Amino acid sequence: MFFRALIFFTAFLLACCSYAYAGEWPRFQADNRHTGASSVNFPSKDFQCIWKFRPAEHVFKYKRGSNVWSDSACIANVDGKDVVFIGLYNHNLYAVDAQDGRILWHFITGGRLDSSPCFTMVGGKPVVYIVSADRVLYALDARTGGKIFSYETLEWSYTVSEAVSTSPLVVSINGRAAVIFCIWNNDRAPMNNIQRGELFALDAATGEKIYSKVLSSVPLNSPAFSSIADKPVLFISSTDGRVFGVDARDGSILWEKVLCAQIHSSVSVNIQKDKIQVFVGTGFGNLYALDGHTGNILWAKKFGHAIYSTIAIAGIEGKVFIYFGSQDRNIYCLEAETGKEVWRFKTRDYVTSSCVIAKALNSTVIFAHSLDNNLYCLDALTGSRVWSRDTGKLIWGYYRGHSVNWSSPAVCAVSGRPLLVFPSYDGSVYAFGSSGKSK
Amino acid sequence: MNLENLSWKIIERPLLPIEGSSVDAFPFLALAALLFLSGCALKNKKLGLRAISQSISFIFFIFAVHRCFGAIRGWIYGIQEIAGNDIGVFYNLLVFVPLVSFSVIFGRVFCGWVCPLGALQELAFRMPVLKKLQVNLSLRAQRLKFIVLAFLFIFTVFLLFKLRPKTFFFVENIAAFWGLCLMLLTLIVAWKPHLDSRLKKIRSLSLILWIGLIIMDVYVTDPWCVLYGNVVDYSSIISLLAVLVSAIFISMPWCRYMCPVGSFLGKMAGVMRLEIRQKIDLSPEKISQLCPVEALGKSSIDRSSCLYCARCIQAKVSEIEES
Repeated sequence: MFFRALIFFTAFLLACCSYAYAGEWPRFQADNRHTGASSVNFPSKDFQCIWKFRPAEHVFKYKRGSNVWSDSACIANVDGKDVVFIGLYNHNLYAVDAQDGRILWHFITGGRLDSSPCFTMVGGKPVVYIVSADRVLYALDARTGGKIFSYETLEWSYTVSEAVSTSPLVVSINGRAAVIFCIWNNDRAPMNNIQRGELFALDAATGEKIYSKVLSSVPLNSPAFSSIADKPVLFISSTDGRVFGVDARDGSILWEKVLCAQIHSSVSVNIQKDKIQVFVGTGFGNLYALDGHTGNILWAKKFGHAIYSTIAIAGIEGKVFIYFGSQDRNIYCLEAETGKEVWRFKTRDYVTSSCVIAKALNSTVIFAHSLDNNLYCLDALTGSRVWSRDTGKLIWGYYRGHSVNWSSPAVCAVSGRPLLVFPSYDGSVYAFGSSGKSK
Repeated sequence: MNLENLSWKIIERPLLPIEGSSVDAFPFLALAALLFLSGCALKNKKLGLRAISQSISFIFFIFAVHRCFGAIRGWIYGIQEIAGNDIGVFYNLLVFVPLVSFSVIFGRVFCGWVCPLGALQELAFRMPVLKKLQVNLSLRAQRLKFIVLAFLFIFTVFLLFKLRPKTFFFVENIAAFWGLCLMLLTLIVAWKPHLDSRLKKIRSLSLILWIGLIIMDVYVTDPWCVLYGNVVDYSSIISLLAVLVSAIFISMPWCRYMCPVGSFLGKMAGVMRLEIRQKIDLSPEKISQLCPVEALGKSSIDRSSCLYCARCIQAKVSEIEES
């Protein structure tokens, strides 16, 4: 009983930590469930570019499987100052002043940064975590960029390949704040060949390993977290087409579901009373809603092409809707309960980035980027275009089809002023805002 | 029902999952079994089984399972993933390996007996209503057919323009460009039929370009992606339309001029154990009647073009021999 109470108390504290600053975007797709929803309310529907951040370093080399320029940003309030954290292809994690786009500090890792950073308060100290392709998780002081600890998931050797990383998240495990992340390591040595898609849980303050669990031999996607009947559960999809429900306390597999095709979309979780829905899209365009308790398929729907975006979830007027983009060039809105299509919006190219939900003039809007170089703002209920902005051309001449590492927008409120941050593949990070203060 | 929601796949989960993943060993086994049985049937001259093999393959690979048939792309990606991702290696090589192995033993039975796109082209060419549009390769220029084809070509270009992605990334349009090239070649042949044999050499260029693009990290797509993958890929749809339209005018145009897989298998003709040998001298009219790709010559067969459809064996013009 005491133990359970302790878990609840720590979970409560962590929840307080996560939502301490309204309008933050502390990790990939806003929260541990990857809903991509923010409570920020833009005071008008007229958006302007407030600042543009373009780091001096450019790497004109595109490598198969690597990130297209940058990962999605995370935004947090650090000692009263709003900071945008963003990892780039050039191995750097940048901390940028959310007010004006000025670099506050940068930290260089040994590999490219394909996944979003994660911000949290640990023991009253602001910490930002990032997993690099150099197989290491870094915990940095969010104020200075100083390293608190690093954890190497696989030792370097001459035959080791670059790792495939995922965005970390911080949860409470047995009363202890833990940083959770997945990483795929590969050592091509013929005698000691390693192909490991592994889940790690480390102590968030010290970096001490709590457990690790090999889930697959292929890369895994970013984990999502939710509690099911007092049990902390991680939901993880793997690129070989499987979805796992994993006990966050010890890494044991609660359930596993094999779907029809490869999965590059991270799982997102919707909780409605006792019902837990787990959403994931596949490479052949199937969207699945799985039961979070058992992994059974609640409903499945076919779309025109691969769904690589993480599904965003929003409750509007008493109903829950899900939003995602597909390589069939459409942005979709479905009813979460039944999968019934509400609307679709046609763009002129693949939609691979994840949708983000916020408010503008008190009505819910979604932001989504399409490879037609446009960032769209759509009305969440009708799908009608509110505005679209050209966010520039790809910095490379062409991309590899079925590339999956495209960045998504993030939303926050900077000193009460709402801000939309989008790292574009033209080599710049854009911050859009509308006039006035957030309501 | 929208095009995007159209689903024609009956089985939506792996039947024989590899290491519990979505990578399915069943299509690999089915392809191997079909190639083996087709090869045995050809060897024993049970030529009536060809239609059955084509039908099973068509139904199985198009309507039953999700499986991409990008053999050349798979081969290159598969090799890159060795010691890095074993499941990926299997996924990428599971079409290429049986294709090459059985081609060495039985010849190009895949092209003549199994390939669903080949079967589709045969169907398009045999449609009775459209027979009048067929280009007779033993005749001179057939102006009316040329005009109809030119109109369809312009329409396809218009379609490509209308459906192009805004950013017009080359990678997204490879299949459509290949389809347009095919229509252009069909146009040339409709105007100057005697160029047919020379234009067949373009197949080698198609293969070289294909491999070059894949090595340059361009994700090439094919006319069949839309069928096998059950996906709305506009480039692939345009390309499939181009193949089917061309197939109404000329028999098996994709196999004849453009198919990279066919070209690759054609290059292996020298090592194939089962060989079709022409026994009788033929007139040009007889050749175009008998052989869908006109691989038969006046006195000998062009082994790199032969699809092993065995129609010439049925007509007792050729013999199947083991070398």
